[in-house]
Amino acid sequence: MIPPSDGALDAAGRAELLRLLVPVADELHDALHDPPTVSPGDWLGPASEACGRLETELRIRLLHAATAVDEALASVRGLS
Amino acid sequence: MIPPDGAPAPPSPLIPPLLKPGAGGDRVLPPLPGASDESGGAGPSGGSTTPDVNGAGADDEHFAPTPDMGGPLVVTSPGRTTVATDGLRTAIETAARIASGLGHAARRIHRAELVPHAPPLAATALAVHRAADAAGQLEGALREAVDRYTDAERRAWATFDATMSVEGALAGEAIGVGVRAGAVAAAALALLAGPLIAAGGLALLPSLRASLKGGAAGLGRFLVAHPQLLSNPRFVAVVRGIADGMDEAVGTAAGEPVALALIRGATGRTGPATSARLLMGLGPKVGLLEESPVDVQRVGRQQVTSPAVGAAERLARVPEDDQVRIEKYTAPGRDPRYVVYVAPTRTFDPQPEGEPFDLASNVGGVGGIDVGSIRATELAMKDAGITSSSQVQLVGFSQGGMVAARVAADGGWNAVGLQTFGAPSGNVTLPDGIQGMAVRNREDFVPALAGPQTDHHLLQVQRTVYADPSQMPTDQAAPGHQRVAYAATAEAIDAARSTEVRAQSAALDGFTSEYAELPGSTITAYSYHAVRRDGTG
Repeated sequence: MIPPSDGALDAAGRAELLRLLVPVADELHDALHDPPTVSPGDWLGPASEACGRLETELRIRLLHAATAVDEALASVRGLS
Repeated sequence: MIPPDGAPAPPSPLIPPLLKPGAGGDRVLPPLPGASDESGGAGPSGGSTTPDVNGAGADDEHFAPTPDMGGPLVVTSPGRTTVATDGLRTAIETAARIASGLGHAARRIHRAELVPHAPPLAATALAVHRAADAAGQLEGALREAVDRYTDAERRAWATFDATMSVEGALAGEAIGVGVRAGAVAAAALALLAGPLIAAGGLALLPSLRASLKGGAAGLGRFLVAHPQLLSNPRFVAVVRGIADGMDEAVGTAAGEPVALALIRGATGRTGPATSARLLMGLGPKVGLLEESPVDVQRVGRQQVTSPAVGAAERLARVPEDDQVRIEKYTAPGRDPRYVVYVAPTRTFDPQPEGEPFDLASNVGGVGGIDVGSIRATELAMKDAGITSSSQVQLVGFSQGGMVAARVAADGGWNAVGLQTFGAPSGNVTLPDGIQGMAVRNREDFVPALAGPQTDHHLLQVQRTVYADPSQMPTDQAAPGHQRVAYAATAEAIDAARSTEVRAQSAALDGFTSEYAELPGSTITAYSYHAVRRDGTG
C-alpha cells in the first residue's frame, strides 16, 4: 500500500508522474508476459537446478515489482 | 581453391592435381529451346516456384518428421566456439533485456520521486531494483552454464579426437594386414566395427560379418536393415573421428609404423582432405572414383513471382532432377544479384556413369579438388551471367552444400551468403563476413565425413530430428540425412527466437527481398543439367 502524499498533487505533477510510471508498468507486464524460460530440452547440466531457482525468483520479483508499480499508479490516479 | 586443411597438397603421385574449370575439357552446351533469354519462351511460373521433385513426395510424406518430434536447435556463433541451444540464447537475451529495461525503469521512478507532492515511491523503486537484480543474476547464471557446457564439450572432443587418431592408426594396421592377406571382408569389418560398437551394435557384429561376405551389396542390405546404427549420434561422432584419422589409417594400412603415423597426424598437417585426396589418387588405379570432363546445358528458364523466404523455402528450391538452379534478381539501376541452388548426390556408384554429382565428386570435394559437380556449378554460374563481382548467395543440400561452400570459399566469386543442409563442408575455410548458416542433423553422418568443424566463419546449427529414436523410419539407411528430415529442421530454424539465428535468416531473406520489393524488379530462374562427357549419361 502506498502511503498518502504529503500534499495536493496538481494536474501537471500527476501527468508527469504518469509519464514516468506508465512505461515502467508496461515494462514489468511485458517481462511477466514473456519471462526468460529454459525448457527441459535446453541442456544446462549441473547448473540446471540453480538456473531453475533463479528463474522462479525472477518471476516472483517481477510480480512484486509490477504490483508495487500498479499500486503507485493507482495512488497517483487517485490523487487530485 | 585452397586445400581445406590449410596445408599444401603432399608431393605424392597419388594425389591428383587441383583442377580448374575448363582445364579438363569441360563445355557449356547451347541452351535447350525455350531456355535462352533470347527465346522469350518462358512465361511466368504462376507463383509456384517450388520444384516438384524435392524429396518430399508422397512416398516420403508418410515418414516425414515434424518439427515437434525433434530436439532444440543447438547453435554455435560465427567466430566463436560457444555452443548453446536457441532456447538458452533466447532466455539469456530476454533476461538481459529485462535487467537493462528495469534499470531504466528504476531511474524513472527516482525521477518521479522528485515531482512535488508525489507519493512515497522508495518501496516501489526497491521492488523494481530487486527484479532487475534477479534478471541480471539469471542472465549471469545462464551464461556461466553455457560456458561450462562449451568447455566440457571442447575437452571431450579433444580427448575423443586424440583417441580416434590412435584408433585410426591401429585399425589401419589391422586393415593392412587383412588386405595383404586377401581377407578384404575382415579388413572392412575392422573399419566398421568401431562405429557400430559405439552405436550400440556390438550384438550385430556377427550379422555384419555375414553380410560382408556378400560384398558391397551385402553391406548395403545390412545398413538398410539397421538404420538406427547409422543414425546414432555416437556413430556420427566416430565417423567424424575416422574421417579425421583416416590418413593415419591409410598410412599404417600401407605399412607405415603406427608411431610415425601418429607423429604425422599430430603435426596438424593432415586430415580428411588429405585422406580424400589419397582416395582420389588410389581409386582410379582400380577403376573407381575417376574424374572426367563435364558438359553443362541450360535446360529451363522461367519467371518467378517471389523469392524464397526462410530456410524451409530455400531448401525446397534445391533441385533434384537437374543439378543447379540459378535465380537472377534484377532491379532498375542496380547490378543483378543471384541465388545458386545446388543439388545433392544423385548416385553413390563409385564408378561414375555420366553423373557428375557422384561419389567421386563427394570424396574429391572433401579433398579440395575441383571435382565435376563443382566445375559444373561454376560453369552454370558463368553461363547465367554471374561475374567475379556479382553478389551471390549459395544454397545446397548434402553434396550440393559442399559444392556451395567450396564455391563460396573460392576467391573467384563474390559470395555474400551461404546456407547448407547436411553438407560435408566443415573443413572448408570460408571468407570473412559471409552470412548464413550451416545446418546439420545430429543423426546425419554425412557432414561428419569432412571431419571436425574447423571453419568458424558461419553460424552452425545442429538439431536432433528424432528425439524419440523409436519414431525413426526403418526403411531408410540414413533417416537423418533425408530431405524431409532437413525440412523439419528448416521449419524449426524458421521458428527460432534467438537474435543470432533470426539475424542470419533475415540477412539471407533480405538479400533477395530487397530487390524483389523494388518497382520493376524481375526474378528469372534457370535450370542446368550436367553430365560427365565420357560416361553414358
